[in-house]
Amino acid sequence: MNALARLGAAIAHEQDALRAAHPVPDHVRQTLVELQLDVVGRDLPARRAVSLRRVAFGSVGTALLAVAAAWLVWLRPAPPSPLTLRVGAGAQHAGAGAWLEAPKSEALPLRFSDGTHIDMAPRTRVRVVELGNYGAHLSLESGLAHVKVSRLPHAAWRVSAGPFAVRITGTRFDLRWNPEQDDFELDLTEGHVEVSGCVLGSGFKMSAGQTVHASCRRGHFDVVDAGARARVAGTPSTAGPLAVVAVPEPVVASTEAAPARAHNAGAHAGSSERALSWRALAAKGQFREAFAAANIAGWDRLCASVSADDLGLLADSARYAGDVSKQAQVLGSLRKRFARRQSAALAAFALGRLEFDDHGAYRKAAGWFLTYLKEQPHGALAREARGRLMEATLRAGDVSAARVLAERYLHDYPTGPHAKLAERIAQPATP
Amino acid sequence: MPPRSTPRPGAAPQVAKRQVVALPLRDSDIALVAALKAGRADARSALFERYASDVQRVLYRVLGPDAEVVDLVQDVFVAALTSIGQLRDPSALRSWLTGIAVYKARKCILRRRRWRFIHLFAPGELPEREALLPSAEVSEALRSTYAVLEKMPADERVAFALRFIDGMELTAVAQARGVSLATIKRHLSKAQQTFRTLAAAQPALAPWLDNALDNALDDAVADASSDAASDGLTQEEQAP
Repeated sequence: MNALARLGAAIAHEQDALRAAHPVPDHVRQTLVELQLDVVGRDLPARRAVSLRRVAFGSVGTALLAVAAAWLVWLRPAPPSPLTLRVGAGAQHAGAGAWLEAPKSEALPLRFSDGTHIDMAPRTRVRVVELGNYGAHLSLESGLAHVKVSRLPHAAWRVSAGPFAVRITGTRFDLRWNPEQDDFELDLTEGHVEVSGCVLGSGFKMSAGQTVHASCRRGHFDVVDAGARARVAGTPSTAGPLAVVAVPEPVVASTEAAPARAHNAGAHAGSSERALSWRALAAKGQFREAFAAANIAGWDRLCASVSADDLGLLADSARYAGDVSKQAQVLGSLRKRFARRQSAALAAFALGRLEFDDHGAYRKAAGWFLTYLKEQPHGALAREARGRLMEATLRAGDVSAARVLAERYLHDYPTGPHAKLAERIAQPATP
Repeated sequence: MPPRSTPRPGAAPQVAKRQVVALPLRDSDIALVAALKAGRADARSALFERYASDVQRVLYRVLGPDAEVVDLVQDVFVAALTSIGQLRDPSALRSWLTGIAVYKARKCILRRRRWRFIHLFAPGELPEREALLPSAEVSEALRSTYAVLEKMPADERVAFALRFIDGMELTAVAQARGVSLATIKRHLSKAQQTFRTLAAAQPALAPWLDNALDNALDDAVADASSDAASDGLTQEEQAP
């Protein structure tokens, strides 16, 4: 198997896992079943003689349908037409798919037909992904946008920024995205929004007065109480369409933060409770909640400071919250900070499992299982590691090496959980 | 004289109905195609059950995890249902659907490329569309692979995806694209070259395309075997 085929196989494997998690929705089937098709080229039975009676009934039926259709057209409230967008002072029309870039020295206003305003700061780039009947989907490619979505029934707006997404029903906020720095910042002035993606997981609800700051690459996010910040700066970001209040120092919502920030703890009592309880939540098996609380407490700082056992809890929290990159970060921390201990070897095994199960990166997985075996040749997970190593090696395309490992596995664990697979691998290929 | 298919009054319609229900839709594409051509209500559902996953897979392979895949799955089935009368060999239903899926995916790629030139502003290196899934759900290798494929000519991209990602045989790729074997070989040859050139700018793909890593793992696996042998790892020793 050459390198391209091996890469392709890994991509296919990962896609299949994604497909299993996101199957074709059943509404597609329902639509197909209910669809009125004008079937072209269908093998229709030969036309039969049509009686006058059928023609008469058919005509009456058609007339009735026409009347009903006219009634529907005239009396039913028409669904709203898709939103329209006007760009800049010249109110130039733009549609779905448009790329918009604010000039270097001035803002670019966007005006939607439902009253929604978006002001793009100089040099900001936005892509109009979709204009719907009740909202639009925009992608902030880079820069800063001041967004004011009209509060209308059924309003459904979405703004993407790199791996992050913001769902909006009616609100006002500033959104900043710097793809080079992988820096996402949302400053919510009014209403509620739900942000998601990467470190924010499947959804994090924000309330007015909060600012979320997130970075996928650095693997962290923090939530800042803008109320406290407004007191510091004197005014919220309503002074101008693109104004963002300068913040002297971010206020991290955690009592586990540095003592210098303790004076802010009173303003974040709720967040502090969450920060304090991440360990308790994880111990109770409430990993998603523990994960959110640990993020607020400062994920990076926890990785650098807590005990090996707590790192294990953090890794579990990340895994069950579905954030494999943070899980990998914790496991990496564990190996670095507690090298040559049993927990470091266990972290190697967990990394192998992560690469195997979540990334389909079998060579990397094999490397980690091998690391575990070298560090803990008689460890409690040695049998499992030997089996996984064999399977990862096979899936990576190295059949001959996998065969050697299979023979060794069968010798040592003839009834082990990987024995059947080992038997199949060890058998010589039949022509 | 009434048409032959008209049921007699009484019990006959029930018998006829039972006979229709008994058609082995679950096993035979021929029966399924016949049922679709006859306009049977359950046949569309059966077609979807049987091939939705295949169609989705082909679209994923060519386009990657993409927000439009669900819509395209529906488009493929609508196209199939409206042109089912043109299917000459019912036993080739699967490959026929694959061909439609590939056609729709390629059309989607070309449509996006057309739109790229009529944007209000040139996008430069910016991504063209939204991802279906949050980035945490897809690996860097997958993301980088499709970032490379995005820059390749449509014909090369389709051929590459079907051959290397889906693992199709060359003849199947040619059939799915509706071109000759020689044409597909030519596309693939160019595609490999283009992919390797463009992939050089993607750090996440370096470990996959670096032959040195293959050799290192071979050594490591060999090490593992010899380590296991020299360590004398036995089942008795492993018992907790």
